[in-house]
Amino acid sequence: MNRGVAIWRCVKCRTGFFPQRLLCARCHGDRFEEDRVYQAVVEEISTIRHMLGQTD
Amino acid sequence: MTVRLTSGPIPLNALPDKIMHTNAAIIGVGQSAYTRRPQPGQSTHTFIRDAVVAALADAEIDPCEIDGMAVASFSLAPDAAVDLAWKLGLSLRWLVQDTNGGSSAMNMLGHALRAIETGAASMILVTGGDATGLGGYAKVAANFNIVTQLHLAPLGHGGPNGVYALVTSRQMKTYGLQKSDYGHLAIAQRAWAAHNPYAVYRGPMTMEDYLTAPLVADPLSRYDCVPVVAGAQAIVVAHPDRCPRGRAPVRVRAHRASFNYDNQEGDGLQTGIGTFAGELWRAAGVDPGDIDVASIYDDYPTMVLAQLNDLGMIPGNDLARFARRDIGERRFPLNTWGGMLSAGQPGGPAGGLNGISEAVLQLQRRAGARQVEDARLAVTTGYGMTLYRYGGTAAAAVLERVE
Repeated sequence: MNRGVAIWRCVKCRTGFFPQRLLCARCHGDRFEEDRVYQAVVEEISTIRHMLGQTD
Repeated sequence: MTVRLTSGPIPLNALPDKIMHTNAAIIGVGQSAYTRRPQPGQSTHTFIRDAVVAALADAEIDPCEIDGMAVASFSLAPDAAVDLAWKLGLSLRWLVQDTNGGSSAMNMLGHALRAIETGAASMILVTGGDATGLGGYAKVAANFNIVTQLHLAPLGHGGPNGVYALVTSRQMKTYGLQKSDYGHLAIAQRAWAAHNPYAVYRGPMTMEDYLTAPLVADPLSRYDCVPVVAGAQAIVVAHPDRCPRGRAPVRVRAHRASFNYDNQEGDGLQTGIGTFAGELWRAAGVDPGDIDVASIYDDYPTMVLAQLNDLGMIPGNDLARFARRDIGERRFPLNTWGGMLSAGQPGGPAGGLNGISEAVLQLQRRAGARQVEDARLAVTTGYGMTLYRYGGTAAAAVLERVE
């Protein structure tokens, strides 16, 4: 079952945000409600082959 | 190495009546040694001390004359700026601690210029440095901000390398860039680094070396990722009259900055520089084509191209042609100290100060074998603070040799 991903939607203008914000970047509303999205487009991918601090 | 410029001198009638900062100039620069692995007894504080001592000697001033200081570092804590002032024996009337990472150096320069102009201080030390070591930097990267702690580090994102791998993929597709195009930047900067005794990597690099280097985060490979070093930089800002005798002071014709320019709603291919570039050039009274030498913040070649494009320095937005022709054929003097990609990144703040310092040395004709002939105008930038998907801070300045 796809549990989706939690996002935060501005109550005033309905714009969705991820990660969570303090004020809406569109209307500067200060109230958000949690929503979930179940579909998204993967636009770019990478494979991490070397972690920072890894010495070998 | 001497580079002959293709652009001629700026006609006097192109200069605006009022230079933005006429009463403030950079009069001295200094740096510590850079090292990949700091030894016992070496710390952020000792590297900063070494850079400060070198800058004060270069500016030929007594430490007692310093009445203002700006500092930025990822590893000064739990000390703050005033602790550093205390440990350096500096009693000040103006003090700034900047937290804008890769654009901290440019930001502090702007603050210092305005402080000198307004009389808040008369002799300002601007410094930055870090000595996190590789493991320490990994901790910094994993805890860079709350969003990184919550949403990126748990994925094993690999720090900024993983983030800019995605930006690079997007840039390659958008502008038709090949992997080798980024290699032209890395190779050209390595050639400059051969003449910089402070650079941690000075050996020649070939395109084969670049293309066969191990992948770090596809498509980024070893030479696309800035090497973390321990070290520090410092500059001195004061009235131009305080510049040592026989040396041209370096003035800032224009300075602009941007913070959180797009709420992380773009794709990272544009930087905050795009919000002010036109205003910067108008304020400076010169055009991108007038620039003799450029210090562009280079944590990744991707972002060098992005910043240059935002500055309007890449004709036709043809990033591939610029990389192959202007950089690959050494037509444009870019990051002439080797950049952070070859000299090393002693934290973002000091890395940015290195670019400013190199511009000063070039304009004062003190760059030795790296000297760009008749350099008179330079552009310097800063870029940093990866908020989530790319950097949220940027700044740029046009520097001028005062005859």
